Amino acid sequence: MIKNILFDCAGVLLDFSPETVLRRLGVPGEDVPVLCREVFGSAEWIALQRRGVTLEEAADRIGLRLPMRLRSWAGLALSDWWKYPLEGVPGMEELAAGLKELGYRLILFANADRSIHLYAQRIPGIKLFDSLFASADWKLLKPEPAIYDALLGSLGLTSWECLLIDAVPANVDGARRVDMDAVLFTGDMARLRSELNALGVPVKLTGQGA
Amino acid sequence: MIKNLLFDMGNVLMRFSPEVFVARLGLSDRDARLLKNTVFGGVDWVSLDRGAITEEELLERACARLPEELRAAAEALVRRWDEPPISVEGMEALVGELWEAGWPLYLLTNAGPRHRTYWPKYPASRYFPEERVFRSADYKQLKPEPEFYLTALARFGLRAEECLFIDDNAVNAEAAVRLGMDAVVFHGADDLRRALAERGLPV
Repeated sequence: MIKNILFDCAGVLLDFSPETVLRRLGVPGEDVPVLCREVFGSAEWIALQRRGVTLEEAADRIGLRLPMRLRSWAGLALSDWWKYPLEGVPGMEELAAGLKELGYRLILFANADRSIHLYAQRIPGIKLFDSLFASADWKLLKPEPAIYDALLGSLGLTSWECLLIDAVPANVDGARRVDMDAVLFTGDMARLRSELNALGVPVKLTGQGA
Repeated sequence: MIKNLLFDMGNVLMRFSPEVFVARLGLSDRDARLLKNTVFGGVDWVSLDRGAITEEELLERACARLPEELRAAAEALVRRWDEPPISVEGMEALVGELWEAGWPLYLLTNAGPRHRTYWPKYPASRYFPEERVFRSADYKQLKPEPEFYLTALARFGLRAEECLFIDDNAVNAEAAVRLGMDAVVFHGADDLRRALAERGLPV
């Protein structure tokens, strides 16, 4: 029986838009696409989420691929992106509240660098959550099987009591590989609610954003 | 020192664009979006690449979620998305140069079993003989899981620190770096040429 609902962060709980972040930082419009690609589309950005590099190392390596004038922007984007308003995915907080009311334990299960501990309290809906499990703290990443095992072990859960909502198909596949139920969120709240129902989680079929 | 070049396939050597594939079917925008998301956008496509389900099973599952009038289109999409094949601009020439220069080239792809049939239709494939192709479905392992890379390295007898891995997906590139390889996130042939030149490869 499912007792715990695990939420992915970016794309599920948090509406993360690299373009918006860069614009808010003050990056000139014509430089946004290249910074978007070289910062938020880089292997270093992923390595930060695994804590395989430090913020400084990541900024240095990214800087090497950029013209001089863009290097400080890249460093600033890496270190400061979360200092701006964080927006929730419409309807997700309401869904989380509904699940909480039904008695489910809510866990934020994120591929995220260590700064998540600095901004987690500002994620819309976070107050409803019981635990936060961030990849960087474990030097692991979704969808590797080891991170699902670490999560279950550290929180004392069994896979068949958990259901993951994730925006990345490979992460859903990874969860199912360890016998965890998982639903892919594609931006369609009504579909998410109906798929949760199909898995025996009796949330209302309609809500805000659905 | 880099001695071997490992290439991802989709959107590095060949264009894998569900939008383009669906557009060929001439459907309304709404149907096209539904079909694209149902066929390519879910976890089933990942399972296909993993070799966990067959193309028939993928199609069955997709059809179960589609209105009847879209099922023929779903079948066309699943079985013939690669017709006609579309290459990534400039890459046939670039891998050709690398091949001529004597670089060992390997293909490490997340792809289903039908890869064997469609891949030879892409011109760049001639630089990747079957014995240097590592296809996820054959091994039931997927990028970015470490096992995928380790199995591929072992099968080809390569040392991670002598490999440069090229993939358009940053997650896959990071996983390669994690295992001791060098990696480039692919952003087009020109950008890759720059990255190769920076590493001292003669392109």
